[in-house]
Amino acid sequence: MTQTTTQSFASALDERPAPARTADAAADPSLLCVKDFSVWYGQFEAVKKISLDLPEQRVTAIIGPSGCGKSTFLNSINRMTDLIPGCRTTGSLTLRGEDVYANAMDVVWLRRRVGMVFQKPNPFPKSVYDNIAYGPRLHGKPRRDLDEIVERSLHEAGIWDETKDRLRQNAMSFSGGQQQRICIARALAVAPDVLLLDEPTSALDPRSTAHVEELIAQLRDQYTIVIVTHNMQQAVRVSDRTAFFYEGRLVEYDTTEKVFTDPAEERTLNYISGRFG
Amino acid sequence: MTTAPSNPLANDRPDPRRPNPAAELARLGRRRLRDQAFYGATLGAIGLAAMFIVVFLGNLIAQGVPALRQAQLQTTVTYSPQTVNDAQLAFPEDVRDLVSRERVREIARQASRVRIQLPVDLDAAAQRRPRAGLTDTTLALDDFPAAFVRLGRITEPVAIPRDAVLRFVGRPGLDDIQRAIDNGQTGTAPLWLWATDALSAYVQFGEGLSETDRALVASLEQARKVEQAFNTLDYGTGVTATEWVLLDDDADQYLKGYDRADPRTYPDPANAPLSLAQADRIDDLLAEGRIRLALNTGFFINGDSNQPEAAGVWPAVWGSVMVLTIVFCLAVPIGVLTSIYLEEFAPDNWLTRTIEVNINNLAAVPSILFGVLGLAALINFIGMPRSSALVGGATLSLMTLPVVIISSRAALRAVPDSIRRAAYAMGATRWQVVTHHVLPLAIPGIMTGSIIGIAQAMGETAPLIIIGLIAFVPDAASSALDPTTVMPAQVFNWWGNSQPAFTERAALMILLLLAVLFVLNGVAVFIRAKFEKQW
Repeated sequence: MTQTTTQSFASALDERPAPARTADAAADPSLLCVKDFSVWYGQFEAVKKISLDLPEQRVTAIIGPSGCGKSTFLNSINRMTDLIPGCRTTGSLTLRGEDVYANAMDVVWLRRRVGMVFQKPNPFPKSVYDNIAYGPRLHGKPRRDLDEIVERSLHEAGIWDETKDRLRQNAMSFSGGQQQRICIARALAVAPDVLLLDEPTSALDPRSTAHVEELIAQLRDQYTIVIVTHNMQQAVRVSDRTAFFYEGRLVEYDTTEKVFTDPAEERTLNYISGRFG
Repeated sequence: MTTAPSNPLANDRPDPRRPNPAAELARLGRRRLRDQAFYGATLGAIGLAAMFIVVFLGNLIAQGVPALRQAQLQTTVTYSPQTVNDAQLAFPEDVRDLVSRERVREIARQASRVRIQLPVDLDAAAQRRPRAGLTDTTLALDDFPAAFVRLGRITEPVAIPRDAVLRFVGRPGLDDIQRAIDNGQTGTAPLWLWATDALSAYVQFGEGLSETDRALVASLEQARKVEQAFNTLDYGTGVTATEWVLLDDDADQYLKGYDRADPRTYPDPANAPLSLAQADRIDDLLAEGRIRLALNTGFFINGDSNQPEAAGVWPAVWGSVMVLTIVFCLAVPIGVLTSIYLEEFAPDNWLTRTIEVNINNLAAVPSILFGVLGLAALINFIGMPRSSALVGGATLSLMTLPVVIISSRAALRAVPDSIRRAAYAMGATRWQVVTHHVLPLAIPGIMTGSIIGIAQAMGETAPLIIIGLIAFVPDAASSALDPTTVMPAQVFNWWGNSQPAFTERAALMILLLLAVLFVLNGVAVFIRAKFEKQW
């Protein structure tokens, strides 16, 4: 049974589109370095001393059962955890060598470089145009560039054709899948270094999910993407590397092929083969 | 305890879960009955509430609507020198006792005008122009009645400088000087000159003029150098006009057909407001078409009066507008900022929680206590003017603040966190998250809550009584520092008056107050409907 499961992943691995770049592109091998990093909610240690390096221009999937700390870890990358009272961190998390949790780090500047898309589509109740232009306006992009930024971002998010005639319409009037792609376009509008996707398809129907997955496949060449997902098929389809979290610890972190066909850890194998979680 | 729990599937008793039609259907009948009774009780409650409202409104309408009309009498009005001493003489004898006292007072004011006696250098006036004849004047001790001097009230001469003299003597007064010159008078002579409007207004109504001028006028009055004479400027030797004048309130009530005003049905005719003869005369005048019930415009534009037929609501309406504007300008910004702090910024600690609990408690504090607070803190300690719109607005702001804070917090809390997180994730600062996203989405809720708070403040009377906003105010306040009254306080005043015509007006004013409250609440509902939730 284990054998058949890993084989089905293997076939999925073969089917996925080949990246445009070569596997050993001269990209920064460690855009984001995490060392002995813990996140605490009061006395509870939600993420326990994890260490990993996220390479540039790769899609990294974080998988694991509910409550394993994967979303907490994702939120701590752009310090969204600051919004939770009583949340603190220990250890180090560096983005291009800069300590994210240093006092000198301006959290606005950090979030400008680390975009985020949430589980539930959350466009602002404003027009599509104003949604996409919100980030560029915040960061002082000149008005004459906004039209181009909006069009580019919507193109990249693969939703230009559906929105080009409805740019002035309230974003809330679009379907859930479209809203989620609008949210992705909104995050792309400031060209972040890193794009964090927190279970971006769990609130979407299968067709919209397929849309978003295609989109991630297209974006993998330009952005560094970290995606948290419950769907292991999705992790296989979209990611280059996979991290398996269990009870707040990083159990295994390797290439997606390795994790899904030949996991080093017993617990990983049990999880991906559906024995728990 | 001794037996181990048996497996219910193993015993052979019938499954207790199966339906028992006879018992359960009988029980169902009782359940239905109870359901019906419950429905009936709710229906009865709303019916009772509706009945109260109908009775209440019906009573008010029955009492208040007649006040929309006011009886008037067509009569001749004669402005002649006698009216200065007895204004009643302006009216023909047969209607004298039916005319509103307020109109009589008005005629007394119109028919007379203030004159002032001053020594005038007619030679200088003749050489140049009349103004030149007016000089500095001194009221010697001889000018005052001997009694004043003996009592020591006046101990030294009073000097009146020329600029004050010029302020007292108007253009008609200069014409008086010219007339004296034309008549061939020369030398320096004491002349009676028409006073300016400012001096007239001060002598007649006690309004205007500076402190020093008032002191000078007081001396002139004591020296009998100021008098009220028949206003020949406007009326020559006498003018008779025909006009519609307000009828006295007793006659008005009689015309509206109230038994309480009719001497024929009054239990004790001797003490009735009108005599039988007066009632007959009114009937005759009505038959002649000299009495009519006209639209009571005075009710809306006049000030308060001790004569109900002339009393109006304008100063109270204006006072309410001023007070509510102050409440809006104080309570809404402070309340909204407070709720933003508590909802968006405040750390969750014991201090914040204490503040929250206290705000909720403040909303339940009896409103009269805010009046006591206003009296102690705002009037006695800070020294705001008593009875003013400022102190009323500030006190009602204190009362409205908790309502605004509670409703604003509810509105802010209703904005989903996902929108805040989306904005923070885009790199927005706290200020930007609040002003770009949270506040615009919360505005409808905040406005609804604020309008309801203000509507509540508008109907509030108890605290205002304590800080003196129930003063008798014949003229609308010219600033927020002047004594004023507000609509509910005016109702309170009028309703307590024994004259039925005042009760009638109070009822009409309650309807007016209800109409304004209805409009305010309508605006709140409209805002809520227009800006429906967008997420």
